[in-house]
Formats: sequence, C-alpha cells, structure tokens
Amino acid sequence: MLVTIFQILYLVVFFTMSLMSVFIVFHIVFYAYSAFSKLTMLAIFVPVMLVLLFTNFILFRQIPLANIFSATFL
Amino acid sequence: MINGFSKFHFKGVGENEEIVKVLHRNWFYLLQQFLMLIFLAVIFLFSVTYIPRFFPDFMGSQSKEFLAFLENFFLLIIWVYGFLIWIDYYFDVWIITTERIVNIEQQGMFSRRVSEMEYSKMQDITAEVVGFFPTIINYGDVRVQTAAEDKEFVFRTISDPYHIKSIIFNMQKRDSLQNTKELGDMIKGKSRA
Repeated sequence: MLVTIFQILYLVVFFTMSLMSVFIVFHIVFYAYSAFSKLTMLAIFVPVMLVLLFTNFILFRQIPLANIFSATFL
Repeated sequence: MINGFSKFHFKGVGENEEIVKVLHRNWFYLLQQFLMLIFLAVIFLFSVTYIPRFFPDFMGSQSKEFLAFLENFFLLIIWVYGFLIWIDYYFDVWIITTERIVNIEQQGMFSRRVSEMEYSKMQDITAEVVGFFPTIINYGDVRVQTAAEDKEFVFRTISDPYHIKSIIFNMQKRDSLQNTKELGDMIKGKSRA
C-alpha cells in the first residue's frame, strides 16, 4: 500500500516537473527577444532537462521501495 | 533594434519611433537570486555526502540507490528553479523609445504584463537608490507617475537609475517641444488657408 502511494506521489511530482519544463520552453520560444538567445536558451535547457528527467525516472525505478518500507516500518 | 522585438511583446511601433534604451534589472538582483539557490545546493550536497559517512546504517543497503535518486531529484529542482529565476530576470524588460516607455513584466510562469506610457501623460519622475549594495553598485528604481494618482510605472532594480531618469526627462522634453512645434505648424497652416 505504502509503495503504491509513494509511486503515485512520485508520478505526480514527475508530471509537475515535466509540465513546468514545457512552460519554460513555451516562454523561451514565444517571448525570447532574439533568435540567437532563443536557440541558446533552448540548447542549454532542453538537453539537460531531458537527461535529468530520464535519469530521475530510471533511478526511481531502481529503488527497492518494498525493502525500504519493510525495513523502516516493520 | 526594433526588428529584434516580435509582435508578442511590442505591438504598434510607429514609423518614426526609435528604441533609445532597453533595460533589464541589475545583475546583482540575478546574483542574489542565484546565491540562494547555490547555498541550498551546497547544503544539500554536503548532507548527501556526509550523512552516509556519519550514519553508515542509515536505511541499510538500499541507501545508495535512494541517495542517488535524491541527488538527481534535487538537481532537477535546482535546474528548473534556476531557469524560472532566469526567465523572471530575462523577460522583465523596460524599453525607452522616442515616443513612449514600455514595461514588460514577467511574474512567475502564468503572469505577464505589458504596459506602455506616452511622454505627454507623465507628470513626475523619481529615481530611488535605497540600501548599502544598491548605493555601491548604483542600482535602484525609477518611478514615473501619471496625472491619475493611482497609475505608476516602475522600472525595478535597474542600473544607473539617475541616468535613466535624465534620459526619460530629456525624451519627455523633446516630445513636448515636438508637439508644440506640430501644433504651431498646424495653426500657421490654418491661418494661411
């Protein structure tokens, strides 16, 4: 039960982070003052964000949640 | 210069209108915001490094995976928060043109305000430098008041506010002279006809 709650909470946070990054990209694309600054900001933000989100998801999957919760609460 | 500004944030640029100055907040404002972020990151990385050393039994053998996840998650938060700070800084712009001043203010992700004021409507211009760092680095606010008491235009934490105030004052003077000249020409034209 606790594992499921933790997983749902993580998915909510992960979705929020993804949504925030989409909004950041939206602002950069539509409001940047020059094409150069737009491309520079996108080139810095997007690859790092994608790598961080991907590795975060992989690292979360690797956590043995069942063992942690049984060791912590039992 | 005008071509660099797209239709999204600067509409209706006149034919003879020229951009005199484009202003962002002072760099110290950005540094202040980022210092907080760096401080938090250092505290977190310090605790992530030293908690397993001082408490080796912390969470048993699963601690490595969990701490790696926490580290990554914190980096993710720092990255997003850092860019939110940058967006707030980069998209806050004040533009002084030959005909008006334009204020573009980004407040968080879901609030963006674009307002403008013509020189003929300005009544009072005040430059304010308050505090130790603002005095040393020379940054502060410039407030432009209209005839309507409730409407105020604020250039926030900009560099060299006194110089900016004098630029606005000179532009206002120039605009007023131009309007008087145009009115004079119009009256002359009418009287001849």
